[in-house]
Amino acid sequence: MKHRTGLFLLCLAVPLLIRQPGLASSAPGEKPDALLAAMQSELLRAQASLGKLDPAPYFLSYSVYDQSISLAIGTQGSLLNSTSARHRTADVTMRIGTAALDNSHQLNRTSAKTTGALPLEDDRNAIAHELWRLTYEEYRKASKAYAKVKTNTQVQAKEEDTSPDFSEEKPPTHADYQEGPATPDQRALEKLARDYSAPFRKYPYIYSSMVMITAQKTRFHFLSTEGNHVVAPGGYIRVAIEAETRADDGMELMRVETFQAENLEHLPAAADITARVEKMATDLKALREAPLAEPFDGPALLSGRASAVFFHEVLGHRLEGHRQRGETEGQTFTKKVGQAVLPDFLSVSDDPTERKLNGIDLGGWYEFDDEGMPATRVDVIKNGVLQNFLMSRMPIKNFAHSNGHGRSQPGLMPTGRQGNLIVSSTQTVKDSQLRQKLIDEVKKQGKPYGLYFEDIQGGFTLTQRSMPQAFQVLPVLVWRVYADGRPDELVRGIDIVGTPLAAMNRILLTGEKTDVFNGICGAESGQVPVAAAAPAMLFSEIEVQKRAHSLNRPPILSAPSNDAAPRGKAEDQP
Amino acid sequence: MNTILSCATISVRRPLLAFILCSLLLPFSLAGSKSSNGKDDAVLSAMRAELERSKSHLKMENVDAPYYVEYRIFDADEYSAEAAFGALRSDVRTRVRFVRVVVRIGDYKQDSYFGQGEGTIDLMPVDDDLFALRHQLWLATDRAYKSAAESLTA
Repeated sequence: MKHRTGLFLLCLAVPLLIRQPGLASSAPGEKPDALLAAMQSELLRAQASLGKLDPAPYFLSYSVYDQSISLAIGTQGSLLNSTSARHRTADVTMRIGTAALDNSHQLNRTSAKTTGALPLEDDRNAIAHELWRLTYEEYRKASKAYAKVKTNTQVQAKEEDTSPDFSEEKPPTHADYQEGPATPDQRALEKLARDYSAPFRKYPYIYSSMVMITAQKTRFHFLSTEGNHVVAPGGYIRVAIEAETRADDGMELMRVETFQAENLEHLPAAADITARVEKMATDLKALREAPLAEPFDGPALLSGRASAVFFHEVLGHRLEGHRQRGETEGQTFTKKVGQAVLPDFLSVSDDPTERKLNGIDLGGWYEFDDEGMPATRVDVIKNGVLQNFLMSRMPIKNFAHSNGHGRSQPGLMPTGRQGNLIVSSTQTVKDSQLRQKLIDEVKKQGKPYGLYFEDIQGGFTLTQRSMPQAFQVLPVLVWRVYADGRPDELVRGIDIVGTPLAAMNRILLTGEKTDVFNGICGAESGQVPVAAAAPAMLFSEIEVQKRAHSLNRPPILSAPSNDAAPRGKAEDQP
Repeated sequence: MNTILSCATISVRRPLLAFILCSLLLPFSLAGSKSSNGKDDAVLSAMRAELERSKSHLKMENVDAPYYVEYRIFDADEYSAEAAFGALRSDVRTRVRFVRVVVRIGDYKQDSYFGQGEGTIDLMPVDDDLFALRHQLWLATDRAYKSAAESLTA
C-alpha cells in the first residue's frame, strides 16, 4: 500500500508542474470568464493542499452546469403551472488511489462525486468558497471509500475484469462561448401550453390531459487536474403532450406525443402539432372501443418509431460499457465482440455529433460528454457483428478508452450512455410494401393474423444478473392485420416481452425510411436526452402478454363540459 | 360566511405559509351562498358548480353518497431567492394553484376520513377559466370519493 501512496504523489506532481492551466482571463482568444477563473484558482489550491495529505487525490475535476430552465404546463386550454429558474450546479469529482484502483471501484462509484449549488453571480470569492466547501466534503467521502475499497479487494475473490478504474486520456481544451438560442419568453411558452392543450376541450371522454413545455439552456464548464478545460453550450426545447382516458373495464389508455428541438424555431409548425393532438384524441376514442388482445407469438411489423424505441431498450442499454464489467450485470454482449448479434443486413451506430436526421433535430446531440471528453461516432454493430461499446472513462477488458459517451445528469457519476442511436439496413423494401410482407409472413406461418405496432410509448429492460434478462416494451397503438383480407383491427391491453438475443435475430427485413424518436432516458447516471432512429422492421416472431391495469371505473359523473361551453380559441384566454 | 377564495402571495421560501394563508373551507352549507365580492370570481364559480353537482349526483352503487365535500384552493405566485456569502444562489419564480378535495362518506359520528380517505391534492389551472377549473375539480372530486369509499370499507 505504501508503494501505491508514493505513486499517487507522483501522479499529482505531474499536473502541477507540467499541466498547470493558465487563468481563463489571460487565455488568448477567450473572453473573460469569472466562473472558470474561480474554478481554476480553487482547483490549483485544492490540488496543492490535498496533495500533502495521505491519501492524496490523483484526480480532481470541477463540472459546472449553468442552467436556465423555463417550464409551462397547460391543461384544457388553461395554464396549470409556469416556472422559470436558474441554477448553477457544481459537481466535484475526486479520485484517490491510482487509476488502477481508486475510491470509485465497483459499488463505491458514487463516492467520487459531491454536488452543490454555486452562486449565480460571477462573484469569484463566493464561487471559490462553495467550491472549497464541496471539495473538502468530497475529500472526506472519497478517502473513506478508498479505505473501504482497499479492504474489499483483500477479502473478496479476484474480479473477472481487472481493468483499471479510470482510463488514461489526453482530453483537449475547448472553449465555445457561443450564445445558444435565447430561452424563449415565458409568456410565449405559456401561450403554447394553452394552445396545444385547448383541443382536448372538445373531447369529454379524455379525462386527463397535459401539455408540458420545457426550455432548457445550459453552459457547461469542465476543468480537471489533467490540465484541460471545456466550455460548451447546450439546450433544448421539449413539448410533451399526454392524454388519458379509461375503458369501461378500468384499463387506463394513454397517448403521449413528444417534440424536441434545439430551439423554438426548429419545432414542427403549430398546425402540425395541433394535428397530432387531434389524432391523439381520435386514437383514444378508438382505443376505448377496441377489443382486448390476447397473448400471442407470431409475425409482427414495427413502425420506424416503434423500432427505434425497441432498439434503444432491448439493444442500446446492453451496449453501455459499464454493464460489461459489473459483477452483478447480465453481460449479454460482453464476450460477443467479433460475433454476429444481429442479422447481417443491420448496422448500429451511436453518433452524438449528428445534430439532425431527415430534417429533425436529434435529442442526443452534444459536443462534449460529462467527463469533458469529445463526443465521437461509435460503430457498435457493423453488418450484424458487434464491434464496440459505448464507453465512459471506466475501462473494460479490451476497451481501455472513452469514446465520449460518459453521460449523466448533474450530481451523478457518468457512465456509458446512448446519445443518438441510429439503426441502418441493407435489406429493405419500400415502406408501402411492408404491410403485404407482414401478410405474406402470416400466411407462411399459418397464423390468422399478425400484429402491427404503430407506436410505442417506452419500455424497460432488466440487465441485472439476479433477474431474467428480459425486456418489456409498452405499445400504445397495436393493430391486428388479418391474412384473410378483413380490415385491420385496433386492439388494446398488451405489452411486448422477450429476451434480447432471441428477439434481435427474428428481424426479416426493414423499410427504407428512417424515423426518429426523441426522448429522455433514465438509468443509473440519471436523466439524459437521447434520440433513437430506425426504419420500420418486420419480425418473424414477437411475443406479447396481457398488460396489468387498474380496475378503477371511469369517472362517475360526466365531464362538466356540458355546463360550460367550450371556447373556440386559446387566444381568448386573458 | 364569506371567505377569500384565491389570493396571490409573494413569498420567500414560504410555500407552507402561502398554503395556510390561502386555504379555503367550503362545506355544503355554503354551496348556495353568494359571496359579496365573488360575482366575477371564476374559481368560486367553478367550486360552487362542481360542489353542487357532486352534492346532487355523486353516488356509486352500494356506496353511500358523500355527506360532506370540501374544496380548498390556494393560489400562489411565488418568488424564491437564496444567497450565500453575498451572492445569489437560487432564483425561482413560479405561479401555481393547488386544490385539496375532501369527500366524507358516513356521518358526523363515524366517517371515511382516515388513510386514503383524507383527501386528494391536485394542481389547478391558474387561468380564470371556468371550463378548465371545473374539469380539474370534477376529476379530483371523483378520485376523492372513490378513495373515501375504499377507506370506509378497508
